[in-house]
Amino acid sequence: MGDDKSFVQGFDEIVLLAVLKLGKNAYGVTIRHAVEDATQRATSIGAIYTTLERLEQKGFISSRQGESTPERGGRAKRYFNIEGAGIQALADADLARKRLAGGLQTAGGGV
Amino acid sequence: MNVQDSVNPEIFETDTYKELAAIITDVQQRYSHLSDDERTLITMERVDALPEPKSRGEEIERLAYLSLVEKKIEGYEQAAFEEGRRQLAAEPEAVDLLTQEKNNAALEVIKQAVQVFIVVVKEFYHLPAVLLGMKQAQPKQISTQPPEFATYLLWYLPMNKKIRDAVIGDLEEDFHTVYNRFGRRKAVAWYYYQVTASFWPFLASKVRSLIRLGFLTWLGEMVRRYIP
Repeated sequence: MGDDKSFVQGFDEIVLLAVLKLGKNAYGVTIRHAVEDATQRATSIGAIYTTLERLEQKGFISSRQGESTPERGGRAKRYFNIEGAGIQALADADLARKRLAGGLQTAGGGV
Repeated sequence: MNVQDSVNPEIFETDTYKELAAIITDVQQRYSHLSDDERTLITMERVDALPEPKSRGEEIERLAYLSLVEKKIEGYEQAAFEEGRRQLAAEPEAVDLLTQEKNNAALEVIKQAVQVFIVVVKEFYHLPAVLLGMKQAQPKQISTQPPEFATYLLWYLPMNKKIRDAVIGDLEEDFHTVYNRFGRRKAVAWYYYQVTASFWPFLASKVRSLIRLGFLTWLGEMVRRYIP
């Protein structure tokens, strides 16, 4: 079992999954769209970036500055990439959920 | 009784009256050798050469003045003028039209003043930030750009410059997408929502950092005090 820093849950997990799914095209706009599509809820860009900042501090993702385009007012994109620790954290979270789901099946089967 | 004595003297000071009077006087002086019918024909040609009336109300007004000028110049008596007024009365909507057009003109002036005020506000609301050196002065933006005031608010979000540039760029990119799909009004509303909804996450993140820093400082002080 990992320590607190390697644990991911809730909104952090959704954002991390979005980064994983988007691959090389993961930046603010695409991540926000992916999260909104998955949760079916409006999400602010501020919530996305604070989460990404937190995940980067934990070492789950890394970021690099991308190209700037005219439709962005000449401002550069910031691309995010998932790291090994991030993939491990997602795997741990998935495993924990499966364990709990197994318990639920057992309880459901007894009824 | 002369026509001039039976009407409001202010009417003889209007531009329309003076313009028509000048035409008729000129025709009478130049073509005094012609008959009345011929002079009337020339007069009407000169009047027709004037710029087209902008409305039915103006057209009726011009005809009324024309009638009045002719009668005044030729020294018609009250009975003749009354006849002219009866002819005008056959156009009962004339007075209403003129009043309505004057009201519309006043309303147009107010509308234009409001539009000028809006343009001035749009142009200069970012001036305090420019004067304080927080933002570079920018050339006039076209209407497809995000609302400048909302972008101005983003400068107050507690985040570092790299993240701020990325956030503003992302919002601008998305703004164009929303703009193209739903129009400017919805795009602007969406942009303001994003800006205001983004304040809390950034603020909460900073508060958490400060609390953590405060706790570590306190812990360090305790360690320093109680552990030799």
